[in-house]
Amino acid sequence: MRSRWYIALALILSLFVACDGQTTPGRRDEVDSLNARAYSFRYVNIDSVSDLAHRALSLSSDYNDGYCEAWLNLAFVEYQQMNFDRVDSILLLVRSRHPNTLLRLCGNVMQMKTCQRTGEGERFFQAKGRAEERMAQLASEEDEMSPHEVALWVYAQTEFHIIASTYYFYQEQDAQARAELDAVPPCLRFHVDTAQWVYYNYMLGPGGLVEGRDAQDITLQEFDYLFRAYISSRRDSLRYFEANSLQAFSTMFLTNDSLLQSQRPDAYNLLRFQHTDWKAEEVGLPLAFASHALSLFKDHNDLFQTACTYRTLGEIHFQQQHFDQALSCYKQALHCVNLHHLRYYGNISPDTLTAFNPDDVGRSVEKEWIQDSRISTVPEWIAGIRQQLSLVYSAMDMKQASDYNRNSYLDLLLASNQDLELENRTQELERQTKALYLRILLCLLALLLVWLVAWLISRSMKRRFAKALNELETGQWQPAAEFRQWGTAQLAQLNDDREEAEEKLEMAHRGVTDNKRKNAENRAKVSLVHGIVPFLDRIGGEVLRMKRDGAIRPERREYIIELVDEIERYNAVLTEWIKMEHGQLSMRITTFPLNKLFKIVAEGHYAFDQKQIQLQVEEASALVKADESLTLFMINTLADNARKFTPAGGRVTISAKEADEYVEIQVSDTGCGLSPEDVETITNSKVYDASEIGQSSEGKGFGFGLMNCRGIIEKYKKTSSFFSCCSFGVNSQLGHGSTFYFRLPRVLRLILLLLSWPLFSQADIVTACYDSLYQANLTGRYSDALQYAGHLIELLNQEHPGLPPMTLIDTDPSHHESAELMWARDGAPGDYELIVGLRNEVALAALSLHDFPLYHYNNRACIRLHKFIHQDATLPTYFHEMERAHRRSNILLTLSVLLTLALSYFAYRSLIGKEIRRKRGIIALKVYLSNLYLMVKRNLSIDGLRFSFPHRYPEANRMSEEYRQHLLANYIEPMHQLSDEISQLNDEQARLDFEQNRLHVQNQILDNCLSTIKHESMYYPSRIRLLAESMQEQDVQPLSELVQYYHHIYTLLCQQADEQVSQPGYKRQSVAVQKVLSDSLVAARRLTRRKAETHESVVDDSQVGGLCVLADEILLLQLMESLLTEMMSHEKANLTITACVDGDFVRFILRDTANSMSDEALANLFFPDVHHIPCLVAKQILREHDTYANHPGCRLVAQQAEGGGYEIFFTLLKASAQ
Amino acid sequence: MENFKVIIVEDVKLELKGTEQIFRTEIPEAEVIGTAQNESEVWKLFRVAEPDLLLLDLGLGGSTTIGVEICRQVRTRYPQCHVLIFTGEILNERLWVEVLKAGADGIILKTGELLTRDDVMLVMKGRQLVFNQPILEKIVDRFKKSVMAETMKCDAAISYDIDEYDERFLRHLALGYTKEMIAQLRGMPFGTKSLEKRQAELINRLFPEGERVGVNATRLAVRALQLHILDLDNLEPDEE
Repeated sequence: MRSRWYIALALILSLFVACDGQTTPGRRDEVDSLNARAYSFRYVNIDSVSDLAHRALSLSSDYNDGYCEAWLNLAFVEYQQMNFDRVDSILLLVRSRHPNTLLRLCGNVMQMKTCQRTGEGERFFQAKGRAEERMAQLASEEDEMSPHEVALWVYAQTEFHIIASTYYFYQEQDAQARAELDAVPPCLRFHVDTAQWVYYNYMLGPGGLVEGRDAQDITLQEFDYLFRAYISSRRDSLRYFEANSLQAFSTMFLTNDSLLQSQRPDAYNLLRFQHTDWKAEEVGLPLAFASHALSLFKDHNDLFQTACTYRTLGEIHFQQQHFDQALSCYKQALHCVNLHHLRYYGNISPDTLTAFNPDDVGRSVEKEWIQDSRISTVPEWIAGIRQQLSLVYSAMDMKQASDYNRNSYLDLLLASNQDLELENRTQELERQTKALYLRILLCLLALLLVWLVAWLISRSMKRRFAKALNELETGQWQPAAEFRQWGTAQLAQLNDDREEAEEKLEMAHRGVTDNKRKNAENRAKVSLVHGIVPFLDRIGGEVLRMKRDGAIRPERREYIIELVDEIERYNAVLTEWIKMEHGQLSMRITTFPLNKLFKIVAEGHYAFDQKQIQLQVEEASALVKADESLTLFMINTLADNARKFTPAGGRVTISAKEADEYVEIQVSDTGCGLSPEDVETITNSKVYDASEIGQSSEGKGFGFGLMNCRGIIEKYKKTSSFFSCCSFGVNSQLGHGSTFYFRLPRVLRLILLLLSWPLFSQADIVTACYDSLYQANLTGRYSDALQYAGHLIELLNQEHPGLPPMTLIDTDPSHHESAELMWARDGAPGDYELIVGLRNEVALAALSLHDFPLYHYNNRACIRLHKFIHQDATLPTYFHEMERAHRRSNILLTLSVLLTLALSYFAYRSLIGKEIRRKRGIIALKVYLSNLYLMVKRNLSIDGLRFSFPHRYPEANRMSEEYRQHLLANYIEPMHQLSDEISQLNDEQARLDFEQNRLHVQNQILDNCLSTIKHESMYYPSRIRLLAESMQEQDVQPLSELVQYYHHIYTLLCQQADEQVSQPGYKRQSVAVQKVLSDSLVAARRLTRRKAETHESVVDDSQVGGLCVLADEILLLQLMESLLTEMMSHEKANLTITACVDGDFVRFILRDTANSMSDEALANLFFPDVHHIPCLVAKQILREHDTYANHPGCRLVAQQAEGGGYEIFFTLLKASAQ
Repeated sequence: MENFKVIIVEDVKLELKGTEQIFRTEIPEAEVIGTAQNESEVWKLFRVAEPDLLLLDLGLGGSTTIGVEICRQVRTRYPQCHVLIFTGEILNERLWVEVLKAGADGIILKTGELLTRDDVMLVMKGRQLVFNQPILEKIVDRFKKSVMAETMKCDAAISYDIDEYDERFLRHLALGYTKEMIAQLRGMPFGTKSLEKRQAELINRLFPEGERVGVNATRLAVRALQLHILDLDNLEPDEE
């Protein structure tokens, strides 16, 4: 209300002035002198300023400039009292009076000052931009200024730079702040205007804007500046600056007392002496200074600085650990803020700030103030106090209060995002306008030139045309050369890619080979297991006969015992075999995000849709450490089970729950549920008949899926104690659905291991790590949080190699900026919002752990980075303005270009004539070629792009076609071919990966099955033996039952294994015998590398030319290697590997002439024996060839060789000639 | 019955012992004139004396299917000799078929009652296709299934009201004809429009409600095969 009244008054006054244009010079001088005096009292006594300015105002009714200057002085008074609205209305008034440029400049500077304080970045830069324009204008008029004007000019310039510097300083942009101070013209730094000189020195004092050798040097320099400011302000009674300097001293002395005492003894003693009244001796210098400053500010009636000084006092108390006193100081400071608010805006919002009000936790009064456009306040001011409050509360262990204040603090900072680029934009606009004028000018000049040059052109036309044609025909044209370069590079790149793809394929191929070999071995084991079944049947048969005979013949009893012994021998072989692989960690343990697997499972929703079951896969954030393909297998198995046992309309949910140690993966369904007995069976018995589980007849038969899942979990547990948290279980109630779950270890501290994980991106890890950090803070695990932060920082550092690394804390004062700020400034890519968050979380954790240095460092780093990345908030307005300017310039430019063109055309018509048409042909050709290049580069087809320029220049047509063909043959076709090859290679690799995973899972499960068989059936043979030995006539029944039960369990276990074996990995192909032989020789040499003297091997391939067999190449080689391993196990060997045709088959013969073996030994080679395990593998592989070759009759025989020694031969089906 | 001569071919010694015991205790008429553990031994024994019965195991040593080959050769070289297969290959059904093709008189699986006197006697009396209980069960099971499939084909035509044109339409769809091509057939006096209508009707008949959305010609043809409306073995186009 008051401001409106002011404006009305001012407008009436201005009318008066408008009526009366003339003034007397005497009055002018008086007004000027009053204004000058008012100015000189600015920092001495604010009331005097007001008084003098009012007097000037009353005298200057007919002197517009004097009148405006008086108002500007009043504006300063209002500014000092923080009545920002009134400052604004005064400046509006001054503008409406159109004073001279100098006064307008002063008005702009005043505006900057206000906006700096109220944190209105955009308006600040507006004012700054205007001020700069005016300063540029005034610089040329310097010589014509009156002394009074010169004084104002000096003031305006210094004030401009100092305010700008202050602004940047508060925006944490030290470099700009320093630059602004450096821009203060040197002549102005001296005693032309003492107040400004003091101001300048004060600015350099405590700001951290001085550069120096080390921390000490910087402190001393700063002290010198400050001391200079202090002495001068005392001498000239500039109370405001005296108080400010004292306040700065108090902060400085708090940490550097001894340094200053030793390095600046005179100044130190003087200051101490001057503050004996303030009990410097008892309370210490800092407190004395601050108390003194406080009283000065109070006298000066300056609320802002009073509050700041209270804050400083609070900090001193805080440092001395007098937390109660510190708190009361901060409350005083807050009280000052409230006073300011109530004084000007009490009628708008009567709410005031409190240090902490537990009833009001969710509300932030200052946020409401800032959001209310009618209220102007100083966000930085409140933010400073809030931050200190959060610290002191934290130190007093009042977590809630501390958090409340910290949140308010962060809110305030978020609300005051700055817009740095605005300044650049002002310049940009200016530059554009200039450029526009320049272009128009150029256009006009060009127009003039056109006529002049036209005839010159026409003369040189013929010559140039000839040259251009020559260039094109010889391929010297620049774009053509560039394209050639690009094309060559592109082809090289594609070649590299193909090589890489080939390498990857090779890797995948190896993976498949390894797994396939392991698989063959496992199948051989399964065969061994099956080999026991006939013995069991024999026992069964004997028992049956005993029962039938009703008598026990001794030979039957004996035979049973022999059979049992044989079974035990087989079991022993199996045990040995399994033991041989013990210690080979065959699981592929990695760390991976669970969600990756969940996504894959979710993609399989089609099968669920078919059954009208809703599949719900929840998002999972956890990282787990396990075998990825096995985990996927388990989730799939459980999901498939759930699908089978859920009726239409039901729902299957897959989710993950995180606990401290493990992640529990759950698959829940709304199906029929299980009885408690079934649950017991599933979770506890190692072997059970799956078909007995479940209720309804059609729902029966869980298969071996659940057994396999449990087996995998058991295997994890056996692998390492790290997996001790693993478990598998089910919660279920009849009719209420079931939840199957398993637990895998969750990755917490081992995040760094992830770096070795190639398949998922660094960004995932970083995000996961940040989430963990956030969660840790949320749940009060602050030390954990700091650890996470450490990991995260390492990760981020790895993302930015070659740049200075981030640290959790950096105490080196010569580092003005944190590393990440440098990254951001250098434009290094990165998720800076995340880093801001990281710093904030670390600050929060540090606050809670009372680690204040860590807090301060991270808080500051957070704020600075935040401010840096949020420099751009007014982009829309900028674009708007740019667009307008663009449109304007476009219209002007178009007009001038049109004009130029029209006139040029006239010149062209009249001067150059048809000669140019030929040149156009060349240009069109060039354009066409450029288009061709572009299309090739964008990987588009050039089929549709044909050149047509017939009636003008037919020669161009011929050349265009030649170029086209050239491009097609040399670039496009090879590129397409390479791309095709790469994509084929990638597909093949994907297929191999898939196969490898399948085999891997199969192997793991077979491992489990086999070890279960080993464990579960070991015990029965000896029982049978015991019973058989002690059996009497009437005792046949228990033996019969035992044998039957054993048989039942055993076949059940075999079925589980068979289920895996029934998925063939066999791949039938035609393999050249020649290659098999040479590969075998390589394998033989590899096997006997260490004993080459005693073990010789040669290949005789005289009879195999062009011969091929039908086989799986990988398995065939394994078969060869197995036999070679067997034959090379003797102390010496002299091996010949050969092959020949044998009817429909090809016979491969391995003959050893260095050893001889008995018929008995040869016959036993292919029966289970620990020493001949390779033979068992060979037998299994041959058996598979027999099965899948569609022609039985493959042989594998060991026999005496003609002419000494022995031989092993095998036959494989011959491939029909192609 | 008269005495007869037997050769037992069995690679596992312990099993051989059990088999011999069975002959000794239960089939006294049989005279075991020799036992062989591998292929070459079999031919050696045959050269000495030709038996009346060869009891043959399919897998010998490393060669797991060599029995088939031995059986085939015995059949050609010694047509008077009966061959009874006695094998532990309880899962490998294909091998059974192979060995029957090779001329075996019967197959006894090494499970359940094993070898019984009755089975051996049946073979000696010249009975073909002698099987013991476990293998018979499997064979009958297969037989039932195949009969069921036959029945289903008849049932399908009735229960889905498939007329001659429907069958022809579906058959040609399955063979990859387009509707335009089918409309050209002599036995199809319809235009493309009415074929489309027929297809929609067929979808309604062959698919339960709720599964009809998004069914195309391929899915329809496959469904017809699944329901045995079409017979995969007789999938031929009409002769034009």
